[in-house]
Amino acid sequence: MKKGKILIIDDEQELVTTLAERLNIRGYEAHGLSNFAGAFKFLNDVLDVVILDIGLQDTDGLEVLKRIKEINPSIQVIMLSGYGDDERINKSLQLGAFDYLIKPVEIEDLISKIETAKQKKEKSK
Amino acid sequence: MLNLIRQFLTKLTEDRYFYLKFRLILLNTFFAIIPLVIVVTITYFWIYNIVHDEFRNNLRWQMAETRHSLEFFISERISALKFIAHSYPEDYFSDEKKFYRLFLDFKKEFEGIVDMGIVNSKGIQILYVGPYQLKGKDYSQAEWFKEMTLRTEYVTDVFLGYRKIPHFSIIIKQDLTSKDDYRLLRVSINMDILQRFVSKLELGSQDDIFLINKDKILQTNSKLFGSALEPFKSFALKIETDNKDIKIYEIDLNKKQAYLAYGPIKETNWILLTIIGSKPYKKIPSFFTKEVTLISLFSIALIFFVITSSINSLVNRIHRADQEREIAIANAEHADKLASIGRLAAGVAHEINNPLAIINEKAGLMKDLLEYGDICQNKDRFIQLISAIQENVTRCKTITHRLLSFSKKIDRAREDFYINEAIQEVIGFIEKEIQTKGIKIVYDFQKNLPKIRTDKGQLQQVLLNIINNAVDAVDIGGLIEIKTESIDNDRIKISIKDNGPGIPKDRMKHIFEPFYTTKSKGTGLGLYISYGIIKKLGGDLKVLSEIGKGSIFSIQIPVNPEAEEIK
Amino acid sequence: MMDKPFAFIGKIIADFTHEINNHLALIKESAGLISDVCRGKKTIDKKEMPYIIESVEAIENQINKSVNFITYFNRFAHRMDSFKSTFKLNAVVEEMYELLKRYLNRKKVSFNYELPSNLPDVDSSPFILQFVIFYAIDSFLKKSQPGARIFMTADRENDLIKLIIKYEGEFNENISQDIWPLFSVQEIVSNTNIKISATEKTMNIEINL
Repeated sequence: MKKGKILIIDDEQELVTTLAERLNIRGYEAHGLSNFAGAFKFLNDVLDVVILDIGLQDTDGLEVLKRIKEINPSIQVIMLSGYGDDERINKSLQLGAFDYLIKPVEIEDLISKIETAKQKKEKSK
Repeated sequence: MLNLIRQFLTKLTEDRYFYLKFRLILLNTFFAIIPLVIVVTITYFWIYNIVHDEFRNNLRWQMAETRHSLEFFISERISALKFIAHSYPEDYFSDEKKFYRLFLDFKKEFEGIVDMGIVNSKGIQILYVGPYQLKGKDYSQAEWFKEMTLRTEYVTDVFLGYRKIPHFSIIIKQDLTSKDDYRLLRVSINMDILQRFVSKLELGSQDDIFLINKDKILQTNSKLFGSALEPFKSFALKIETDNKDIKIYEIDLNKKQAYLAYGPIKETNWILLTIIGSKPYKKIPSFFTKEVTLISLFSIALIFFVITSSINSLVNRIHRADQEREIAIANAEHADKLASIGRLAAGVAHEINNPLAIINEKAGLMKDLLEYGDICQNKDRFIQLISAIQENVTRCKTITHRLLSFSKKIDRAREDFYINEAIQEVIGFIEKEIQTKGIKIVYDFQKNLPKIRTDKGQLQQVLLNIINNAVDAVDIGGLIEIKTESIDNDRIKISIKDNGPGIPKDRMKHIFEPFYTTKSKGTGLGLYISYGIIKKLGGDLKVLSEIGKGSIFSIQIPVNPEAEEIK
Repeated sequence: MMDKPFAFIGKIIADFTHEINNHLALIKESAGLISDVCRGKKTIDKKEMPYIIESVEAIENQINKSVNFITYFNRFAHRMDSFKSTFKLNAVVEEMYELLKRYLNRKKVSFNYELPSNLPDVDSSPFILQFVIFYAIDSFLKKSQPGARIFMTADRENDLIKLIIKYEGEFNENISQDIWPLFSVQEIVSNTNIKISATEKTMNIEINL
């Protein structure tokens, strides 16, 4: 039994694959995507956490966040961005993001966030 | 002195606040002083009149006094002679000795009598007592003798007679009872007596008093018009002899104001005449003028001081408020610029986070592999990961490089560009508006202009502002001409000409001031900021405008401002 | 008038990029080392493992440092967002300390600050305050001799917060760079609630609350 199903959406392909691999090593089922277009097939699935970048090539990350919350509000979204200004952080949290992390992030910190997000998801069920 | 005036004038034309102060002070002082001037003027004339009336009354009174004593002198003697003639026995007028006693008695009582004589109806002096040998003299041809055929008494004018000394006579007619005959009792009085009478009047050195007769012959000596018996020839004054009143006139004596007063003397042909040129009445007004002038000057100084200081502080306050506003504007601009620099710097810095995150994850994965996997199998993956790290380090470097060049540009945002292209770019921004208004833009660009090195963004901001103004100014289908030319090797001139309504003269001098706008919309910051920018870039912004024809904005800009600065 | 603050920003950004470049160089070196170890061999020798681990940790360490530094820089950059705001003095000073570290190291001057923890929030222009602090430190550093020390303390006096920046050490007689005159800085701060005055080796910054 995997620890949780995680989707990583970031336009940095290398980051996505590396991060996914590291999460996989730690016992998660992590999928990486470099654009939002391929995300739909995962969204209706039993997805626990989405790790989402704000600046995507095809869409604005905030827009993606909104769509994810529309399709499946129980999915917890952790924003991961290079931008750390208050405006984006506040906007994300307003739109229902679980948390906002600034790149780069320690894998341990990310995992602890994923775990609390999972707990929140369980509660909200 | 001339230099000072020139300085003042330049300050007046260039320093708007100074001009405002000057105008306000002048206007306020002027209107504050007007009532003062009116009051002073009225008071002056009022006092002038009082003093003159006083003087006239005083003159009249003194004249009356003098005339009265003269008249009394004459009438006393006439009465006495009449008394003598009617009451003394006949032998007193025929006996020489008795006549002599009569003369002595008379002389004792009445001063000034020189001699006394009796002239018969044929004009012969039959009796005479006095210092001269005048017995037997024939007076039948004398004026007074002729007069006496009609009169009972007569006072003659002053004349020389046989004795050649100015004198006058009082003559009384004595009717003889025996026949239808008469004789004349005559006394002579020297002119000195008259002189003494008139001299009683208190007079200054420029005053004069004398007697004349009806034929304007001087009867006493005059200071100004000659000695007795000379004709009085000065004024074209018509002297009324019928009226008994004392008349006072203002006259022009040798181009100076003077008073003339006259009054006829009863029972004689004489007229007492006074000319007062010493202006005693002036003393009081001059005293008054001195005091009032002093008070007025003090008041004016006070008014001026109060107005000047209050206007000074008022205008200074306005000036300060303007300055504060300008500072606020400048601060707003700087705050704006700072914020944009901050955003840019932060933005660039954030970008580094992405490749750093990749490096971080790659290194993390390597650690994971070392921890969880078999190292021997992962050798190739390691090499892959390491090269990915190295790639991302390069990525980071390009970002830091960008940031570094940005830091250098912050205070010197200069670049080399062609002005003609920069103008075309500006037109590009507002092409749509130009098209909708159907405005025709004519370019008169000088080719081969050198590249200029300056802050392109700021220059374009100014150009956009001015062209926008031109677009707003012209009617639909209007014309805007944009011309570029090099003035010399160092400067380029850009002119933007429109055929709009033009700017009225009174507005011209304010158009480069903050918040001045002719448009209903907009803040008015445009031209003020534009002017500031062009000045900062080492150039100059000027405007020419003619009502009904349009305006020309011309910008002169150095090709290389740095080189200019060195100069 | 604002050219000095802009020069200050320029300097901060330049120092920042140099610092980041240093970090990157270190990362590159560490990566190069791993690459050298791996290349040319079929497998990685167990003996070489400590080198690899050390290098990987060095990379991670460096990344952490960079991130830290970038955070300070970002905070500094965002200080310019608004001309006036409410902020913590300690945070501003900390940023300046972090951002000027490199400059101080280069001049071999130590910088220490001790601020009371109970200072109230300040309502002022954070950017101008940073500029003034920078000016104070910069004017010392421009004529400093290696080994000198700069101390910064703060005090609250009624409605004033007083920052005192003291220089300890000798001044260099030959100054290669020009030091901005105090009055020009005073002019810049004239329309804020910040005041600056100076004696030979101390700068006093007053912030009106």
